[in-house]
Amino acid sequence: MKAHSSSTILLGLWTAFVLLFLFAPLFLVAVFSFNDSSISVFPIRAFTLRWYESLAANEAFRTALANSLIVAGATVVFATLLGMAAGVGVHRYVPRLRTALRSGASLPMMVPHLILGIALLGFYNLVAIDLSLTTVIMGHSVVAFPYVFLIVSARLVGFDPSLEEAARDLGASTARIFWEITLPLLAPAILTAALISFTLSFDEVVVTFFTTGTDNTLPMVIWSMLRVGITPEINAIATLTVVVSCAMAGVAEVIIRRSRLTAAKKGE
Amino acid sequence: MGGTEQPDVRLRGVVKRFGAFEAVAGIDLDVAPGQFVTLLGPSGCGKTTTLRIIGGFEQPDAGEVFVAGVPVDSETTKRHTRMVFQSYALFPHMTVRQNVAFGLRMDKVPKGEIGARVEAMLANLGLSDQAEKYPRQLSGGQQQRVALARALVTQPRVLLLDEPLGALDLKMRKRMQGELKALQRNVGITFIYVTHDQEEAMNLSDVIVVMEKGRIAQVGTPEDVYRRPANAYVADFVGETNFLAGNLAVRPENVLIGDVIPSGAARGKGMVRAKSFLGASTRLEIETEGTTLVATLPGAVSIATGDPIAFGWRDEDALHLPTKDSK
Repeated sequence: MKAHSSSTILLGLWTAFVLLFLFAPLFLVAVFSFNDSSISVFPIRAFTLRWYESLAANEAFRTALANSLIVAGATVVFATLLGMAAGVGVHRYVPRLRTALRSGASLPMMVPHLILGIALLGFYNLVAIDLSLTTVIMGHSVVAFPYVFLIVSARLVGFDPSLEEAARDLGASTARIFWEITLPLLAPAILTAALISFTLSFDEVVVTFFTTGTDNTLPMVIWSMLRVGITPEINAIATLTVVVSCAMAGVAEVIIRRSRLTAAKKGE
Repeated sequence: MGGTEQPDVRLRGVVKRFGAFEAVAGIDLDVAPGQFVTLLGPSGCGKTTTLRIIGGFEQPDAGEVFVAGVPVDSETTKRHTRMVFQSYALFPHMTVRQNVAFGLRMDKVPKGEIGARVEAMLANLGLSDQAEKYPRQLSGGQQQRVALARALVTQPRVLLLDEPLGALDLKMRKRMQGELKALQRNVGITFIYVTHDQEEAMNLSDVIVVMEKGRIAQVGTPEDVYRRPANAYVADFVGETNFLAGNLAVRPENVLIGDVIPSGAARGKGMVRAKSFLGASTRLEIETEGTTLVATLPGAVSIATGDPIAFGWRDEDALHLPTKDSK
C-alpha cells in the first residue's frame, strides 16, 4: 500500500516536471511580452502593452503576417483538396495499390525539409518559375499533402463500403453519393486535416527559406529579428501565435464535439 | 413454382468468377411473384454472390438476369430490387426519418408525398417514436426495422436480404423471423433471403434453394427439401441424417427403439453410447456394427448409457437418395 502511494507521488512529480518543461517557456514568453523592459530577465518591472503597440506599427511585421495568412490559407485549400481527392480516389479505384501508394505518399513526411527545400528550388529553376509567394504555397502544399492524404485514408479504412452501395441501391448517382454520404462522413477528418495544414504552413521556415522570393512570411521575419537578440517584440509575436494556434485547435474541437452532441441530443 | 405469370426474378446460366474461383457456376432459377425464397448453403456456396448479382451489385461473367422481365445488366434502367444489407448500412449521419426518406428523395418523389409515405412506413414498422433518433441510438432489432423500412418505402418488386438477422442474438432473431414473415405476407412482394441457418430457412420460406459450390443442389418447399432431399448433400445440410448402407438414410426423429418398433420395422441391435436430455426431446447415440446411429425421442426416456437396445424404422420413413454421380 505504501509502495503504491509513494510510486503515485513519484509519478505525479514526474508528470508535473514534464508539464513544467513543456509549458514554462511558453509561459515565460507570454510574461515577458507584457514586461516593461527591453531585456527578457527577472524581476518583472511593470505591465505594458507597448511591445504589442510597436509590433502593430511595424510595417515588416504586418506585411509578413498578411503573407503568412495568404500562404497558409492557400495551402489549406490546395493540400486539403488534393489530399482528399487522392485519398478517396485511391481507396475507391485502386484498392490493390492502396498500401503501396500510402507509403509512397507519406515519403515527403520523412524527407528532411532541408532536402525538400533544395529539391523544390532545383525544380523551380529547371522549369523556370520565378520565386514568389506562389512557389512558397506550392512547397507548403507538398509538405501538407501527405498529412491530409493519410488522415482521409485512415478515415476511409473504417468506412463500411455497403453504405455507398446502399445509397446507390436507393437510386443515388455517383455525385449524389459523394455529397450526401461520403463527404459528410469524412467531414471531421477533412477539418482536422485542414487545421493541420494551416499549422504546418504557418510556422514553416526551411522550405519557405528556399522557395520564397522577396516576400517574407512571419517565421522568416522572426528569424531575421532574432539576429539582433530576443527582443520583447518577438515575445509578443510568439504569444500571439500561440493564442491563435490554441484558438484554432479549440474551435476545431468544439465543432467536432458539437456535431456529435447535437447528433446525440436530437434523438431524445 | 410454375404458372403462367412472368417470374419476378429469372436467372439463366449465370456464372461469376473471382480470379480462379468460380463463386457461381451456372445457375438457372425462376422466382414467382410474392414468394419468400431462401438461398441456403454454407459459406462460400455462392448464395450471397447470387443475391448481389440479382441486385445489380456484381456483373455476371456469363448468363442473363431478369427482374420483372427487365435485364439487370444496364445501369440506366430503373431497378426493381432493393437490398437489406447484413450490416444494415444505415447512414449514420442521418436520422431514422432521413434514412427512410433517402430513396424517395433520390427518386424525386414530391416532398409532401415523401413525408406521408415515410410516416406510414414508420408507423407500419412501429418506428414512429424513433423517427428523430440516429441509428447508433437504436437497438439491433430497431436498426433492422429501419433498414427494412428504408428499402420497402420505395415499393420495390423484389426485396433482397443478405443474412439480415446474423448480428442479432438468438431470442431477437427468433422474434424478427416472425416479424419478417408477417411483413412479407403483409406487403405481398417477393423476398429473396440469404442464410446459412437451415432452421431459419425452414421457418421463413415458401421455397428453399439449397446451394452447393456455386450450383443449385435442390429447389423445393421446406417439406420437399426435408422429406425428399435430392441428394446426400441436401439430406446432410438440411436437418440431421443417419446415412445407411446403399442409398438409404433415416432422420433421427424417425428412428424407433425398444418395444414401440412395429413388426417388420426392426433393423438391429446396438448399445447406447451417449444420451443427452434436451428438454422437449432426448438424443441417443446408438453404436452398432462400428457405426453410430442418432435417434431423437420425444420427452425423457428411461434408458442409460451402456444399455443394449433394439432399433428400427418404418420403410416409408427411410430416405432414398440417388447415387452420388446422378444429379
